[in-house]
Order: sequence, then structure tokens, then C-alpha cells
Amino acid sequence: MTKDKKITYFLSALIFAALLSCLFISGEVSSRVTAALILVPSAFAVLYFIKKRSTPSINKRTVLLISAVFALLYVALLYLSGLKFGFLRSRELTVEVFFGNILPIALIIISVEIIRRVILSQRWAFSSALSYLIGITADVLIFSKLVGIEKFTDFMDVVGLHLLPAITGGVLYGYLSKRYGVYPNIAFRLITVLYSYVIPYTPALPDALLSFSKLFVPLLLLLFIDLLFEKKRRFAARRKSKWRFVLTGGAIALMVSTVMIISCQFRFGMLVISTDSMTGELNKGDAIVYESRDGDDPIFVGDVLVFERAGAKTVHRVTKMEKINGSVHYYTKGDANEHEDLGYITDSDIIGKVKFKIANLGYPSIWLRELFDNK
Amino acid sequence: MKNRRTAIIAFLLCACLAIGAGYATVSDNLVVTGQGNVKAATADDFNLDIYFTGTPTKTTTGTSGEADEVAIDSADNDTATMTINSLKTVGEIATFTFDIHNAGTETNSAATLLATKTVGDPSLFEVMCTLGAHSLAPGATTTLTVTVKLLRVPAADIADSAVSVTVEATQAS
Repeated sequence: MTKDKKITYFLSALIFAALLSCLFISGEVSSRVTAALILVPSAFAVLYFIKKRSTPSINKRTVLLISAVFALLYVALLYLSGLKFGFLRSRELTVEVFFGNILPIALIIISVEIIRRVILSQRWAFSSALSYLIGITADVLIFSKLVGIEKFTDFMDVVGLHLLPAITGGVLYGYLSKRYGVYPNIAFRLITVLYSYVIPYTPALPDALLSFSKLFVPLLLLLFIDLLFEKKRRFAARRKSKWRFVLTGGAIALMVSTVMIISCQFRFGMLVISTDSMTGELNKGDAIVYESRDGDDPIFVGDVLVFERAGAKTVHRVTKMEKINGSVHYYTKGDANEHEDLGYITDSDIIGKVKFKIANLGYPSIWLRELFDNK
Repeated sequence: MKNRRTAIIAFLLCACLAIGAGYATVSDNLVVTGQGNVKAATADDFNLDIYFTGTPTKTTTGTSGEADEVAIDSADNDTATMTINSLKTVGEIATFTFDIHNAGTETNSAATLLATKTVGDPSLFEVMCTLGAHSLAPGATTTLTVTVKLLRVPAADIADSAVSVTVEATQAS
């Protein structure tokens, strides 16, 4: 094993161990400051002890500009989505926020990218995998709350908002780092991570949509840069069969429609049946697709509705309707329940009408939740 | 390069499925609670001294994730309170067991016990109360078991129904 390899493995092991120690530090600010204090000297150590091989200098500035603009466009789109989903007040930009969050995060990102760049430049069989792992470990351990996962929503925060995006992000960062150096990655990451600390309002995007956007945006940038600069592949692409484009288009359409339905923010939504109250028609584990009610869409006795009361979404059948003082009261009942539901619902409680079901599709969701709820 | 592209597409499909399963909205029923009061015997014309003793126990087949509560009023030990929070699905049962003690010492302080129940909304809860013994000799202890079964799940606000069990003691003849 060469000297560079030994040093690289040794330093990588130290970095992993040090990052893991951040798990045991309570407090978001403390763990980030500690991570910055670990990674900055690590980056210097990597730069000093491991020989870096240079990258070709073609298109570096252009790619840096593209990465920065892409990141800004992504943030702008997120804020545009706030027109539909609303905005939440985030932290005010104070000295504490700057030194407790912005500065450590910036130092962490810069250090991780330097470490990635140096290890990637080694070009042995495992250097890509090693740099990839360091990047994902840093993203997940520093930016998510791994310790103290009690509820299912905490678990999905880690997986959906940090782990899966870190995996696709790692593909982009490795690609850019190898060909164009550290600056495009640093620019992209600083903009897409720090915007929520600098701007006092953040868009209240549903977690499902945010997770999908974080998953796909790095790959879109990678695809864009790859198509723009990899000329050989562009010529080769003309020889591909049209079926490949049809399949790719179909896969993209499927993923986009899945995003839209799962988020329940658009015309159609999906709900998993987790109770037995409608057994026979809708069994536990079935997934139903409903169409959102549009103002005066008529409701009839016998319709199966999705409605919300006291924060819970319920799927029951309409058994009776009566108009009292200009307001329609809908009486509902689960098909398998012995008695009607207590009270009644009104138009404002109704979310939509069930269109069709997909049998047993919802079981993974139920199992995941039961795994955490029944600990 | 082709292998990498295939791997990325496969990963994306799996990630979409994982995120879809994780973030899918799940229908829910509301937690159904019931208050309960259990009162021990009060008749005292013949120096009966009947009260709750020991620590009541509770078990449940409920799946709401919330815990039932049961306690004896320490002021006079003749009232016990149960709060049922664990029931969520039709058919689930919460069970509470109380010890009733006859602290009388005279031979004429033997008691006959009778348990009666009152349910505010009988369509919501089915309540059964069972006495371990209907005759309680001086110094003896018996059990009162109250089972509350959920009959239906409302879709409206959290359903709340009073459940009351009264144990009446009369002098044994």
C-alpha cells in the first residue's frame, strides 16, 4: 500500500470517528460548532499530508456560475411555492445565529468539499467510494437528529430530508469535484443550505415535496452540466432508440405524479386506510385516491368521503344529509361500525371524495408507523 | 457509465417508493376517552365500613398509545376514578380491578354487595361490572372488575362519555 493510501485511510478513519462523536453532543449549535472544529483541521491535514492531483481547468468558471445560478433558481422556486403553501417565520439573523449556525455550517461544507476533492483526486479503486461516504456521513450526522428518534416523523425527517438527498447530492458533488474542482460544490451547497438562515421566512413546503425536491435537484444539475459539456455523449445520444426516451419520459411522469398525489396538495391525493371501520369496501392497508372537492361538487348519500375533524383525516360513508339554516349537515358512518358517527360534518370539513382504491398498497406505510408506535 | 446511470435510476425509483410510503397520509380514528367514577358502598345505618383498598390495576387491549388512569380518592377511599384513554378501535377493551374491603368487626357488619352501572352514551361504551363475591364478611376483601368495551368510533370531536359504577352495600340478612 502506498504512503498516500495509508495516510488517506488513517485520516478518513479519524474523520469518521470524530464525526460519530458529534452524535453524542446535545444541542444543534454545539454539535455543529464541534463538527466545524473537527473538520477544519481535518481539511488542513488532508491538504498537507495527501498529495493532490490537479484537475483539467476547462470550463471551471462556467460550471461554477451554472451551479450558483441553479442553486439560486432552486431557492427562488421554493419561495414561489410559498405562494401556494404559505410561509413560516424562521430564525432572525442575529450574531448568535451567525456564529452558532451560519459560520459553522459554511466551514463544515468547505472542509468536507476540500476533503472530498483531495481523496477523489487519488483515483484508486476506493477513493470515490471513500469520499462519497465521508460526504454522506457528514451530511447525515451533522445536519439531522439521529439520536433521540422516538416518533415515526423523526425517522422520516432523517431519511427523507437528509439521508436520501445526501446520497443523490453525493453523486453530484463527486462528479463536479472530479472534473471541475471544489468551487461549484461549495457554491451550490452554501446557497441551498444557508438560505433558510439568512432569509427570515421560509416556504412551508410539505415534507414530502421538500424531500422529493432535495432528491431530484442535484441530479438535474448533474444532467444539465453533463449534457452541456460532455460532447461525445451528445453525439452518441442521437443513436439511442426512441423507446428509451418514451420509457424515461414515462418514469419521470410516474415519479412526478407520485409526488403530487402523495403530498395531497393538488387535485388528487392519496390516503392509506389504517383502521377497520370501512372493512368490506376499504380494508386496512388499502390506499385510496381521492379527488379534492371543488366548491359546489354535489355530495350524495352513499358517497365515501375523506373529511377532517379535530386534526384527524377519516374516510367514511355518507348515510344522511339534512339542510339546517342554510348549512348542510352530513351524517357519516363506517361500513363496519355498529353505529353512526357522533355528530355531523359540514362542507368545510370535507376534503374530497374517494375515487378508487389500490388494495394493500398502504401496508408499508402502516408497518413503518407501527414499528415506531409500538416500541 | 451505463451501469452508473442504471444504478442511479434504480436508486431513484426505490427512494421514491420509500418516500411515498413514509410520507403517505394515513387515515386515523380519534382517541376515545371515557371518564369513570366508581363509588363504594355508602349505607352506614348498621355501622358498615366498606371502602376501596390496595392499588387498583388496569389492563387494556387498546391501541391508541395513550395510557388509562385509575386511582382511589385518598380522602375517604370510597371513590375511585378511572380515565379511559387507550381505546381506539371497535372491540378494544379496558379492564380495571378494584379491591373492596369490609373493615367491620362486628358479626352484624357482614354486607351484601350490589354493583350497578350508568353509561352516558351506551352506543359508545359497553360496560360490565363483576363482583368477586356478593357477600362480604367482616374483615374480608373482594374484587370489583369493570370492563369497558368500545362499540363504535366517532368521526367527530374526541368522544367523551361518563361511565359510572356504584357498589351498594346493605347489611346481610
